Amino acid sequence: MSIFAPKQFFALISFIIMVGLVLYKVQQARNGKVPTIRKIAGLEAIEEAVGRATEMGRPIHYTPGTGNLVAATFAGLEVLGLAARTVARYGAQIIVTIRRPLVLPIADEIVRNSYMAEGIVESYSPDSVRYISSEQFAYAAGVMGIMSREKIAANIMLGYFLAESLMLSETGFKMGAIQIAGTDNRSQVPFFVATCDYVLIGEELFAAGAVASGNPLKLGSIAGQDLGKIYAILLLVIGSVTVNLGLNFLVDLMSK
Amino acid sequence: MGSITTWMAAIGTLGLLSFAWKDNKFYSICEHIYVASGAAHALVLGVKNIKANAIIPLAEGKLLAIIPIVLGLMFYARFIPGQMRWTRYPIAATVGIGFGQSLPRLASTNFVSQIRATFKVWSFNSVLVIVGIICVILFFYFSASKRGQRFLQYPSRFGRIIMMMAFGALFGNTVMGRLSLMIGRLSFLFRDWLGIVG
Amino acid sequence: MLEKIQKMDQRIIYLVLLIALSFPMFRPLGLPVSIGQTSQDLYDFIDQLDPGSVVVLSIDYSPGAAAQIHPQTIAITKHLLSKKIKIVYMGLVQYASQFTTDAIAKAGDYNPVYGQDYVDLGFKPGEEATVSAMSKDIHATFVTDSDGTAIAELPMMADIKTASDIDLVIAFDSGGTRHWYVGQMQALYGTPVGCALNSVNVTNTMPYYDAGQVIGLLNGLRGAAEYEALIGDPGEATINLDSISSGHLVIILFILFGNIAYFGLRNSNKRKEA
Repeated sequence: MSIFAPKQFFALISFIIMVGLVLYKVQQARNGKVPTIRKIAGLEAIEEAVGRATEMGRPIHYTPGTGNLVAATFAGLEVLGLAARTVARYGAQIIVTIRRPLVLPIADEIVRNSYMAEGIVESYSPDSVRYISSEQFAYAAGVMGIMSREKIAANIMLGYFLAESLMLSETGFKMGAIQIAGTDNRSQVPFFVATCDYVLIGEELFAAGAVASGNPLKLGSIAGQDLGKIYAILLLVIGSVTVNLGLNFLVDLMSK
Repeated sequence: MGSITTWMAAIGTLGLLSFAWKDNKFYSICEHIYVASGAAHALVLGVKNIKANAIIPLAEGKLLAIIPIVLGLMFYARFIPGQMRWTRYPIAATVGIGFGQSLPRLASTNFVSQIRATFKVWSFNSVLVIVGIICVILFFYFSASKRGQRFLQYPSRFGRIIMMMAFGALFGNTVMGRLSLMIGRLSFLFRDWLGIVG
Repeated sequence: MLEKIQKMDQRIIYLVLLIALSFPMFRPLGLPVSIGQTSQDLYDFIDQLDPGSVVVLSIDYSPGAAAQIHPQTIAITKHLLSKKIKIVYMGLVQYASQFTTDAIAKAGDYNPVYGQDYVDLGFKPGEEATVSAMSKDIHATFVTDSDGTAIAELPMMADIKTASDIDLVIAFDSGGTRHWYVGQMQALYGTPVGCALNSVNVTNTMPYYDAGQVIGLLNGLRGAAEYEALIGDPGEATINLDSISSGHLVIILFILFGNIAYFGLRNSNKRKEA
């Protein structure tokens, strides 16, 4: 019996190549060669949003999405750290709403640490991070109510979203809040594009997470993934050209 | 005019729909009932899951069930002052298992199979697909140098246009979905509740 | 005028849409149903299966998406029962069993026998890990059905043990479970996968369909109506399709007026500035 599952050999090789590229760039970053990541407008707008909310004396709503502990949730939580630090610095108020119980302790710790990092842990309110419901639309109904009653001035939604995306962003739009949203779920990006001021599309969310963390290793991993994209483009171009020349070696190789 | 449960569902539906008019007390009451019933449902389901996946296997002598039980209990360490760090272990286990599980899918299904599917005999459509894919990938290239960014400017702009077109198609499909949800509710109100439609 | 259109109270839009959706319920328009290729492919695949084949229906939608997906479940159940194909119901979302019970009840007069013609394994937590585990060993993954009966006691399950014993899996999916079936079953075991989806998930499933990783798919309520037409048994979806059509018409008109107002205002503002 083969040690590989059938037709998975090339996938394994590709995986090793891409992980290798990420490790290479992470190692470079560790040695001090930190890559520069292009500006992400949505991330830079966080300070503007918090500033505006502070001026208006109204809270900022933040949600790290409705997904479980998936990559997008972690990216949303990384940016939560940045947003919460900015909120603490400005003396504004943040309301973080949570759908997944697993995400609650992490979000809670991040907000608390952000206030601690700004030296005002006494200003941290345990009521800032609120578990609403793990039922999708009960969560949406609850958050819509909070956004409306608390008269939020800014709405930041970064993470994995499903159908609740439009319900939340539409409510934020009605409230006249400045809205920053991002998700890796392609189905929901159109709604954010239609209703929000700044949108992070797909992988921009992960890059924003890395930038917000300020961690050179994470920035290195983003650069490593960029090399992985070049690998994908090369496969695409070589495969397409060779197939049209009547050569099927790459198709055969990729089928192994 | 339906049973008491139909009436409850109808009142809940009207209450939540009233938000479209404006935020009001009726919506607020229905919202709180919905959130509360969601919490109750999750609790009942949670107990059922713990019983089926942890307690019963343990009672049947499957000692390995102790591992998820202990990991699950560690989540509650956040309620013990100063012991929050213990919650990190189950989170790490959950993330690690999830990542390991999804690896074959990501590498094979979403990468190799999808790239292989684009190797087609050139036609206007197939070339457009390849150019579109490359430009969209370049839109997500983050670590280019200043010179590189100038070079990527045009392909990534084209990639953005392609994505916006895809989002338009997505939006159209979703509008249909949202209408279906509304139709489902209207159908319930007119047929099951009021009985004015056959 | 243009400014009035642009700043129209959203509630007017809601009201017009409400009327457009309700009207056909009282006065059906009887518009014809055209069949899309993706629905036809799913139907054809099921139709060529031999009696006694095994199809797994993974009921993975929440009540919020039921208006779109549940009519698909009923239509496909009818088709499978009419072909005497064995059905294994299960779910990766907690509401699976209540939808299964309803689908069987509404499937008509086929009188399927539980344990011989169909089984309901119910909801199993674990998401992708469950799909991976059941691909290797269904009996060890589920152990009991939704009522707590050991699946070893269900005659139909005697020969259904791994992904290789399944002739087709259909993910009735309002979230993301189809990705797990494609990744864990289709890619690793070659088990054919079909999808029955709410509309929002269709566009990002098309790459799977184009690459042959998904054999066919149904698109929301429209897909359900198409399937009802294919099996020659018009049901709830067909009745509601008129409402969809009139709703679309209204939305298209609003988009047109909105854009005319937007560009008209922009041009007149530019002229004023000049």
